[in-house]
Amino acid sequence: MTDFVSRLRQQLMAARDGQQLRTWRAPETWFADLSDSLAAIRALAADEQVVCAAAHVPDASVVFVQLKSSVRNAQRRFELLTTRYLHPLNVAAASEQQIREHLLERLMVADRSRIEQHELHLLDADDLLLRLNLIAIYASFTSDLRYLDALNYYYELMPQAWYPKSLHNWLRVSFLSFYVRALEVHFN
Amino acid sequence: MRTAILAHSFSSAFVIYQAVSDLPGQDVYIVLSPSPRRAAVTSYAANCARLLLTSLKSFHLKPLKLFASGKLIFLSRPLHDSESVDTLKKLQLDVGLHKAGVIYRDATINAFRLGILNHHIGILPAYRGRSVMEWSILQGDAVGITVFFIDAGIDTGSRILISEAVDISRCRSVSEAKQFLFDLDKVFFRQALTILSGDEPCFLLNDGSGPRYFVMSKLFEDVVEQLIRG
Repeated sequence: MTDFVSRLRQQLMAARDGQQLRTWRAPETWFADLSDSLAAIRALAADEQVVCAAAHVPDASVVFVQLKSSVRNAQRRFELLTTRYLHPLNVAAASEQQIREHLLERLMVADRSRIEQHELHLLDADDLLLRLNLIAIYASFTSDLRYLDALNYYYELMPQAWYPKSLHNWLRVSFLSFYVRALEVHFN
Repeated sequence: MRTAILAHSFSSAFVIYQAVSDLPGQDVYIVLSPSPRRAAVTSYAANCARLLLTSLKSFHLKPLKLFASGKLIFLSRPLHDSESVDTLKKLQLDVGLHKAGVIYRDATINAFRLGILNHHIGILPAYRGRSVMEWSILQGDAVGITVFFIDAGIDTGSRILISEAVDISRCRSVSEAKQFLFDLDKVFFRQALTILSGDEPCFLLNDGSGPRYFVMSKLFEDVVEQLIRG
């Protein structure tokens, strides 16, 4: 975690000093799976190179149905998403439109409402943060401002002193990195 | 035409009632369901107090007459409850006017011959969901009102009765503009009921093609605020 935060800090400092972030390429159809979704998210957040090799797009409809049916099973959803997005940039693929809308809606309706009712502790932090990271990645690819604004909203909503006791709480830091990137893409 | 204004608060329903009850051929009811944030008894007591206050403040007996004539209905359960749905069915209503803070289920909607009308402060199908006035302004699109028959989805009802751009250039803030648009409900509901009373009302299609918008961040709201102030 400390090492990851140091890498991110270096990257953000460099961005602040005018160094261009690596340009991401959206998949024309699909990028071949990487070995570990979470490691790939860390690499992308730290602006490191990830391999992007074209591949055939797997069927999205099954995952969408599975995601919808597991809205009360955070662990299952986390597994589904990390399996689907072994290459995290695939969240920007055209085939993923329905899944993205679903993720955005969950974040901005059900989860938002619980956080505003001071029930953040009742949510599964890893699941919430993973979805937020995926939406944040997509926000850099789209001109649809709803995605960028979801990041704005969560940036304003999340308590600054929120340190979830979760397995992957570094996802909170990677979210900030993707948020910075999205802002830069939209406003520079 | 038998019309019911569906609301939690007597005061807000009565404003609509006054605007539409004099239309020819209209038989208007007010149906009050308990507020989701209050117990049924508390809601009932609050509405009785509002009824009395409205009568006293305006020095007329219309609210009390409404109560005495049986056209003011108090539901003890939420609108989707089977008991409430039965009450609505017995009234043999044609149209409902949405003024309650709930999302309706099919059973409630189907209790009305034509359906329940919603006064939405955005142009459909492009702008559905929350903060649609703000999103329209942010994206440089027309601000306006859509009156449509709702379904169980979020602003996805297919029959649009009125869709009209509204000039908000006199408003100086987001909250003022929103209030201005919300307050037009009495005007647009009246217009909608007039259209429905005509021979062959025609509908525009809400094909649900627009994205669903969500509540806007403070950052973007500030941008919209600046845009409104010019």
